[in-house]
Amino acid sequence: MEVVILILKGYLLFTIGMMVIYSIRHFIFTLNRLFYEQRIYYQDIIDSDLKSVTVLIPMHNEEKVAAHILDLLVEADYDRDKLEIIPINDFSEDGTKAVLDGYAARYPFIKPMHRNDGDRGKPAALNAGMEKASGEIIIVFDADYLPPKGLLRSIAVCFTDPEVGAVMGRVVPINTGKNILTRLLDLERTGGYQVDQQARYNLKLMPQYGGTVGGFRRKEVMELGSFNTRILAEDTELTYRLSINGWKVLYANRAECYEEAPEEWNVRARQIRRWSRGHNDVMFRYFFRLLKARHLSFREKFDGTLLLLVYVVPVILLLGLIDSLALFFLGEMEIFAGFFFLIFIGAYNTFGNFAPFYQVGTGCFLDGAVHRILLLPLLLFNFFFNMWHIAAGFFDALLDVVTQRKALWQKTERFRKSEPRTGT
Amino acid sequence: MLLFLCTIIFVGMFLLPFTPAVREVIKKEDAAPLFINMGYSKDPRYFAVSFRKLMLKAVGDAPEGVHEITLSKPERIRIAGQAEVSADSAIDTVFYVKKSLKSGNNATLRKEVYSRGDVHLGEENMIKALACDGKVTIGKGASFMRWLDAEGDVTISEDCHLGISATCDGVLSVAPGCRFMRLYGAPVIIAQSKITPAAGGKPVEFEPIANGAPTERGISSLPAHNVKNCNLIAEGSLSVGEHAVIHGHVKSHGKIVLGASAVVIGNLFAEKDIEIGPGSRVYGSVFSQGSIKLQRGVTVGSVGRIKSVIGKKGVTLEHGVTVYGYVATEGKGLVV
Repeated sequence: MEVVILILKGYLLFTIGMMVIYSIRHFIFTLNRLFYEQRIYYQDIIDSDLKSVTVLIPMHNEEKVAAHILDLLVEADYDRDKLEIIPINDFSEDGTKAVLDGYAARYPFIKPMHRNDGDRGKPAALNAGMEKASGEIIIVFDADYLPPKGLLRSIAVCFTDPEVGAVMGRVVPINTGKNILTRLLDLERTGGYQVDQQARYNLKLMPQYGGTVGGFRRKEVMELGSFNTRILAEDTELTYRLSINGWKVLYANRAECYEEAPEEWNVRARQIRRWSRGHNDVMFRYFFRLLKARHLSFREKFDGTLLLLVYVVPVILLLGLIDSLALFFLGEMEIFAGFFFLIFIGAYNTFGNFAPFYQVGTGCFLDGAVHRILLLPLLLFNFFFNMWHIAAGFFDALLDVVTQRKALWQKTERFRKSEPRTGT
Repeated sequence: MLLFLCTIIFVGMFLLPFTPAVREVIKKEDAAPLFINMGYSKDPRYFAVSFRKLMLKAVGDAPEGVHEITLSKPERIRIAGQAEVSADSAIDTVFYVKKSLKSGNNATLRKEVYSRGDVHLGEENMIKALACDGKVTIGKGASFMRWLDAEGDVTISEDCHLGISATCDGVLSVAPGCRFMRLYGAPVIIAQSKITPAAGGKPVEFEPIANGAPTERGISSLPAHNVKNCNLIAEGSLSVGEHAVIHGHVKSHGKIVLGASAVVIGNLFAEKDIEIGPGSRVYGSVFSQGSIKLQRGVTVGSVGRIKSVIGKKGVTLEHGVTVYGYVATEGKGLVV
């Protein structure tokens, strides 16, 4: 029994240690955004020799939204001679094909690809799209995204830097005011992009390519093996694969694009569980490879490791809560006696619990959206919700590794209310 | 009763932090999505282009004289044919000139000016903003509060403050002592009073740097007269000797110092300062998170191509510098 109690106590200390590390990380990011020098992105560069671009838009049953993104992309200010748009109709059973063919008839640079055999899912669709693409740079959007006129240029311009392998723009929910869930997701996005990603860019750590509103070098990614169709988080995997091979991933805070956030809790639950499963799968594959990477600095490796573990932390916390309950009922909650324990717990409560909230609040402040800061306490509920579903995703990934089963891609449901349009 | 009271107090205290959130959920004061300008397109002449559109729409066929118009807000506007602003005088209204505009020394134009013909400003003028459809010449010590733009060439004399941006569709010639934040011209040239830089000429052709070009890492110096046919990535600072030629892009995580008469057929990126030696030639863009100094006779870009020189903390341009395109800084822009 003593050994069990010792293990339980050790685990609790480990949990607190992890939380302290992540809290410090959040605080550094927040303070960096508020008070320290900001690195500028490349959006001010005007260059008439930007690389050719292929936009890939994986679509599975997207008749509700396909026309919206295509309408916006044909208005893009990118040189038409250097632009190609490939919407990838991936096994759709609705009217997506008709919508895409309608646009192809009007615009020669829109070249739809209809997939009805082979592997399904986003990574497989992107691989097929890259085979067909002619652009030097691939820019990816999900079908529900609404790119502004200048976005392609803002993304493509960073590839004038010879060290940049991928770039990530900022995602902004367009249906923020729909309900409490969308409002909370908007807060998460604000903290995640405006503070977290930008701070990592400022500090020359490892910003993350997010799989949409971003781009990468086609030839180089294909030479590295394209996307692994067994991994659900193909974006995270690409971030680590490029970084390990000496490429930098940049974050472009000004390359903003609207998305549609999930409006129902069950849809959000599936989405975040899928993210967790994919991200943790990448964690299992890249943890040691990251530590051994030749081209990364110590700080990049350290932050890259923390980023890699970010979907493990909720699992650690969940187990920590269970652990603390067990210790409580065993009457063994007192780990350290005396003054140091009080200081330790006090510091943790002061900084640890509030760190992510400061990050979100700071993001809102920087965006000038100050009233939504009032919603911060409600993130408590999101925290428990995320913890549960991320933990489920972690165990999915663990099972994937143990059983070598293949994960099946699940599309996030769309909520936009509109009739399908053919573009003709 | 006590238990009930305690329960009420507990529930109240528990819910208290959530009350502002509940209020915001109900009132939806900040529920709109964050604003993204869906029509935004990077244009160095953005201010002038949008101002011209506003002005032409507001002025219409209005005759000469003083009128009330609405730009971004209601304004008084003076419309003139040929205009001459005498020395030491001031104009307090928006000024629309149908032909050409000339001002004497120490004139003040407190509002925006739009001239459809050429503009000649005397010394020590103070102007809020100027859009011109012709050529512009500006006397010594003029000061722009916001911006200046012309469809034709712009010639700027010594010691002028060029506001947020000075742009044109022709040659933008800037004399020593001027301060700027953004310059755009085809090209931008830095001229001393008796020097005419070699602007213009035939387009220079060269092979673009292909995707997948070989990359050499870990380099810290390139000796004089050496030639490299690859991209260079330096983990620290990089020093390039005189007359060295790099057919590739260059990235440094420290400083870049290019010796005299070096040639880079590609872009230059540095996390710290960039200093380009006299007579050097960079065919691509130059970008620094620190400062950039282009010494005398440096040329960036080539005819028919638009390139940029972006230095976050500052850009210093010496005489004889030519930049085909755009120069910008968040810090101090100085011509010496």
